[in-house]
Amino acid sequence: MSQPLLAALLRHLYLVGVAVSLAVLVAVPLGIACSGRPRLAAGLLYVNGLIMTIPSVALYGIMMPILALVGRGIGMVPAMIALFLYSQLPMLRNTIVGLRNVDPAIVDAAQGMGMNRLRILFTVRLPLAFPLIMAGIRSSAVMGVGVAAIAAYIGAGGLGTYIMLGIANSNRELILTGAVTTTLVALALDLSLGSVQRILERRVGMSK
Amino acid sequence: MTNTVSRETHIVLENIWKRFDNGSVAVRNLSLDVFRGETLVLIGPSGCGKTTTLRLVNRLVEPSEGRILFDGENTMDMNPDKLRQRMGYVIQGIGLFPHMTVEDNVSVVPKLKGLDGRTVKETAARCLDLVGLPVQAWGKRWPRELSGGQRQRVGVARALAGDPEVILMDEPFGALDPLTREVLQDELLALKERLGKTILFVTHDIHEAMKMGDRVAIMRGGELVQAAEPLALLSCPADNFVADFVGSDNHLAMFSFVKVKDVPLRTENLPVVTAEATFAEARSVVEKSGVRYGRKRFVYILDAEGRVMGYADLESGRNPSDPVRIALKAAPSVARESSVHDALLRMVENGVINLLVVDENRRMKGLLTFGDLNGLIESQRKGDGCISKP
Repeated sequence: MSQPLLAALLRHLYLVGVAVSLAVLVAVPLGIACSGRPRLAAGLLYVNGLIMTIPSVALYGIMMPILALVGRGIGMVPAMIALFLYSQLPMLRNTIVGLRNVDPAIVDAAQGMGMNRLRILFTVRLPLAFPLIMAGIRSSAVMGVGVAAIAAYIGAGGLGTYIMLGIANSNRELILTGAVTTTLVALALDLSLGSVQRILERRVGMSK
Repeated sequence: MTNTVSRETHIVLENIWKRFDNGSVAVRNLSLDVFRGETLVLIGPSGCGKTTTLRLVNRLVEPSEGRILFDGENTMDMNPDKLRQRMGYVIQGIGLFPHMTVEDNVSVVPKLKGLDGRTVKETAARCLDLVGLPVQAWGKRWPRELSGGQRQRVGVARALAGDPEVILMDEPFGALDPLTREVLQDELLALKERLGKTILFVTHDIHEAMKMGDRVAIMRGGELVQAAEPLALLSCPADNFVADFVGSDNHLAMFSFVKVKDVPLRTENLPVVTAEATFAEARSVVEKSGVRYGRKRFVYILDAEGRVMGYADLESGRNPSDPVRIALKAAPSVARESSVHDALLRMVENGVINLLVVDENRRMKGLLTFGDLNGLIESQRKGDGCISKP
């Protein structure tokens, strides 16, 4: 692999990695906080659904003038903000649904045994909701790889640069290099997160 | 009633009302004493408030009016989590944690109680042993690998592990097939004898109620209709609802509730000798006891520890100085905990009208005769011993 392609790939991973990690830190606690408050949950999911419908190019366009006020109109910062926002919905929704779907009989048993709310959350509900939460993180990450490719248009760099340059110069090889590498990154990320999930689940007996 | 039951109250429900937010009233002015060491079964048609009553005791539901005393202390003044740790809780479908091994499931309450790691391990092993699932073989299994009956056993072990003073059971065997249910009921009865815990048990199965309960509390529409010992419910039902519910008029059905130990057994002057006795000695014992089967005379033979070895027929022209053991045959017997129905069945199967009653070590506890059973039906029919009707 050529030096510039490797650099673009690492930048791409950095962009997705930082944005999705920050999104996990916000979406999962938010999901936990509103899992017992159906109205708040519905409202948050609605707002997040709206954000998801904005095309990424448009979102970059909206953010450019706003962030330009603090001198960050282009580059990594708007790209990360957009990725962060897009990542919220799958994780938030899966956290809420995962916690809500835990068998009430199990929660009842835990409460009847004398566990307090916090302990039930951490030792019973979260472990049982983990597969769904993890599935949300995986779809966010895969989607993030795609969204990040478009961020090249606002100067965030990454694998999207090859696609952008390829289109501008009618260079099919450049387009293919960027597109295929992006796809491979997305696949590899999904597979590796999948194996992390299986290892964690096996440790708690959720899969064979 | 077993000797582990005292008249000392353990849980007292005083004029309890429970109204839910949607306006429905689940429990109406219910007062009930639960005695230390007894098994009290709550039963009634669905929606009668029996499960709510159970959940009121460990505060999963809180009363709208009235108070509940546990060991003399108002439960509303106690920390609910601490209160629940003092009460084992077993529900239908068990609620085992699917992401924890069998051993970890059983260790939950000991850990909550802050016991150290070694004590937790020992406790879990002891409780799994009690339910017949030794930790070496079963501890590392996952709940999904177990059968329904085994899961329920783990549920019971988990409830016992906190060394609770009370065990609350909400239709614990409801989802099991009849055969497994029967086995687990018997195991729980045996455990109860050994551990002497107070048990509050909810069921909708009257057979289960009569079998498991030292007392049975019948509820209807949120009210307590009658709480009494199974036999008393049969002979002295408070009203037609109770009579229909327990089936007072169905003597054969009644026999499946009544336990052998509830029947007045003949315990003295039994035709019993040791294996060393001769035919001549045996004959004089039998004459004295007056127990015979038609015109046949027979004697039960016990070993040195008082365990039943079998019986010998005395009518076969034996040499009077021979020991009776040369004519030893296996004797049909029945356990004290068995139902009268089982005893009757065994009599029919073996073509006898007298049945030995033995304990778990096959020690002789008395003799059940067909005449005793007849007397039982008679006394039920007449309603003997109905002192008061609540």
